[in-house]
This record gives sequence, C-alpha cells and structure tokens, in this order.
Amino acid sequence: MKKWIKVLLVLAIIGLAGATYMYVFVYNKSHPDYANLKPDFETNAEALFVAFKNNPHDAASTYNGKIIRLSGKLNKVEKNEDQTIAYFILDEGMFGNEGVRISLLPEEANKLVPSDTGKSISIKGFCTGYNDSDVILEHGSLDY
Amino acid sequence: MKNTIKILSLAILTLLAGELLAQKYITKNGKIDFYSDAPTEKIEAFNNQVNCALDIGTGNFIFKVLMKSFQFEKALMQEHFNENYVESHKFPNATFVGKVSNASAIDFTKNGTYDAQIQGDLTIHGVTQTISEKGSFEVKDGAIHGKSTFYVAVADYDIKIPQTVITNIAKEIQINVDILLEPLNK
Repeated sequence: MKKWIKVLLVLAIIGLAGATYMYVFVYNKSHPDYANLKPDFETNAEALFVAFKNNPHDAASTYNGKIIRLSGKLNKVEKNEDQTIAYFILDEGMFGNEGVRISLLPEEANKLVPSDTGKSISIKGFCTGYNDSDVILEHGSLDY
Repeated sequence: MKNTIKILSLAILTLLAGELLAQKYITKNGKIDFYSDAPTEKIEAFNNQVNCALDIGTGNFIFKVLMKSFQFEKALMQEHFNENYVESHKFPNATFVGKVSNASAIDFTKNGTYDAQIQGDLTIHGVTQTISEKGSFEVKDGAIHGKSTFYVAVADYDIKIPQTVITNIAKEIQINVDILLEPLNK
C-alpha cells in the first residue's frame, strides 16, 4: 500500500474517533448524577435562607450552582402532576410563605408524602438561587 | 368614646387587609418553557418553579424566574445557556413586572375564559424591554389558570450568539407561560 494512502487512512481513523468522542462525551454528555454527588455545603434551611435574605448577592456567589445538604424539620410537602416539593417555611412575604423549596428528582418523588410534614429530614439538592421569596434547590434527594 | 373609635378603626383595617389578601392570587409552581427552532437544531427547556402574583383588584402582575432552574434535554446546552448566553452567574433572575391592562373587563370571580392583554417590563440578562402580549385566563372554582405564548428576540436582551453556532439557535425564541394561580390566603 502506498505511503500516502496509509497516512490518509490513519488521519481518517483519528478524525472518526475524535468526532465520535465529541458526539458521545461532549455534545451528548449526560446530566450529573445529582443523587450521588458529594455536597459542596452542609447547613440547615434557616441558615441558608437567612444568608440569601440578608445578602442575596454574596449568597448567590457562594451557593448558586452548588450541591447543598440541608437538615431540619420539614414544614410542608407539596405534590402536583409535575413534581414533589419539600418546603422549609421560615417567613412570610408578598408571595405568602417564604423559605427553602426543594424539588425532588423523579425517582425520589414518592419518598415524601404530605403526611411527612413535621419529620426531621436530611435532603440534598442543586441550588439555583433566590427569587426574593424562596431559596430554590432542584434535583433533590433524601439522605438517610 | 376613644376606645370605640380605636376598635372601629382596627375592625376596618382588619377588613381592608382581608380584602387586599383576597385580591391577591399566587403560584410558586408556575411553568415557563421556551423553544428555539433553528435550521440545524431544536432546543427546548422548561422551568416548573416560577413565582407569579396577580392582584385582581389592580391587574398588577409579577413574575420571578430563576434562570438556573431551566432544565434542558442535553447537559451541554444547559451549560452553554447558563454560562455563555444568559450568564446566570451575573443575572440569576428574569422578571416581569406589569399589568393585565384589560383587567376591568375580566371578572376574576366568575367561572369563564377571558382574553387578556398583558403589558409591562420584561427583564432578561439584565436588559429590560417593555412588552405587550396576549394571553388568556380561565377562571374555575376560585382558581385562575393563565396562559400565554409569545416570542422574544435574543438580540433585544443583549444575548450574544457566537458565529459558530448561529444556525443552531433561533433569533426569536418562543416562550410558553402556564400558571395556575390560587388565592394567597387559601
């Protein structure tokens, strides 16, 4: 086989491998496995809420986009067709109750029911920020 | 006499406060999704934790949306959306503050479906634009179901799309709003 054909073949294989890698591991890379991520912070709902309420800018820099594990007494469990929300209620404002709301991962959604209100739990989620009423955590999972 | 006036004033204030609360409808589980239909790619994202309040007395209407709460099918798109386009580390919230401008023509206490005209200031990526859009309210058994579909141009909000992915992202993004509002004091 001529040398230039060999070079072309090698280049084509490298190109194909690179394109496959980009497609599978970059373009189609999976979302994080939130339930198994190690928390960046461990605190309680009240401390997190107060941090955002007192200084939203600094708290956003610290907590937004981070995995936070919270422990405390659950005040409410909301269920609707789309999601289950664990709610730590800590104040009252223009949107009614204020506090920390954690939407559970679909596979965790049945682990809490409204009658779990008052239970002490440990829960982990991805902090998406503070909307001037509540601190929001998504992809929540319960720790036992 | 003074005590009677005090008691009467207190009673009137309590009644007024109750009336004001009764006029406010809220949700914390509002849904907003957006859809980009570009020649080489369709992109969809949704957010199910949107705060919204409507005062049916004045028609005042407010939305608060956390940008990091938008969920995409592909993790890479979600990363690009937050880090490169809306820069959610700098601008974590989008807001709408406005009015139902034809609120006087809508009976929010009576079951029925009503056309709505919404006007106000939409802030995305730190840029505020005044918008005027159509929507509808369905009043049913004390709850108000609001819906609206409208388009925003990414350039209007200073969102820069790199030349390399210009065919992947639509110049105008379709926004769908779906909210079920309930009385605040429920």
